[in-house]
Amino acid sequence: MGEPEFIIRIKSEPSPRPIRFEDIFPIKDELQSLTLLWDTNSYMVNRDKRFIIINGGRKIAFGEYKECRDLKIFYRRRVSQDIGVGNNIIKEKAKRVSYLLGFVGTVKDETKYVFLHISTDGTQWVWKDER
Amino acid sequence: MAATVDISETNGTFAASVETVDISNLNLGSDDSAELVPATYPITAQVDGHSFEKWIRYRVSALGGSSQIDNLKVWKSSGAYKTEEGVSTNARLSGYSAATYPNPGPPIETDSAVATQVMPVAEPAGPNIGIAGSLSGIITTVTSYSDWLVIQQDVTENTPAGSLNTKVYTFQYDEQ
Repeated sequence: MGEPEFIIRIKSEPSPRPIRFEDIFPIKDELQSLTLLWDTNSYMVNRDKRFIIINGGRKIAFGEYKECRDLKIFYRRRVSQDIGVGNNIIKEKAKRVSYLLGFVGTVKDETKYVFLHISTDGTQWVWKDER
Repeated sequence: MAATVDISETNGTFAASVETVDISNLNLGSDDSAELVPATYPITAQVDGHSFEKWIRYRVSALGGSSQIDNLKVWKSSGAYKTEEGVSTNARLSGYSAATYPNPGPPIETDSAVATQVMPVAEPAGPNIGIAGSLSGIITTVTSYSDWLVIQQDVTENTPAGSLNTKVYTFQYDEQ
């Protein structure tokens, strides 16, 4: 099974490209489409054309689109902070940052979130009703 | 740009409370003080034994370009319990209401009537600490605080004397 590819298209760049952790904040308002290509589940969300495609392979089949109403960019900067407790811990604290970037919209009267959870440890995709 | 969010602890009576911002640890013991030294303030293994409550909050002092802070979560991310040891909290996913700092106070060393829930040991499915009395609350101005999070260590007469295992608590929030 191959590795998933995460492709974005943004307004200020002419071509789609892989997403990078470093540039989430500056491009977050420009996101136009988000595509996952994978062997098992692939999807594409297009902001301007207001559709979501989900299908079962690396090739996106455009005939399988679903209309998505009220489609908006979904962005969160997620911060986790550890604080230690224990006999000998006097100072243990670290902050980790990750990003959630994608879209939220309504498909058949249900709110759907489609976003990538991007951290320095890697990228995961999420299709769910709750964040 | 990023928001400035710290965890602060408050100790003492209501009228003379003392806030410690950006605490470096959550050591629990037999004293109502921030960043205490456990060896100096051990918890006695006894029937219905407890540490002093910890009253802590998220403190947002700058939004840093973000429009709001929300989705506050806390859980124990590592550290095994020993025999009949546990940690109680008021963090919860439903039936939530904001706690109010004890008045006249101070926080107590007997069984907390506020920290009555079991501390989760994995990331909760949703926010378990509220803002302005609601788990779906948001912070949009500074300096602002979350609702109070209350934590208390619980032991019994069967908890073995000596060092407990080191634990780590994870505090998480979202900026948007």
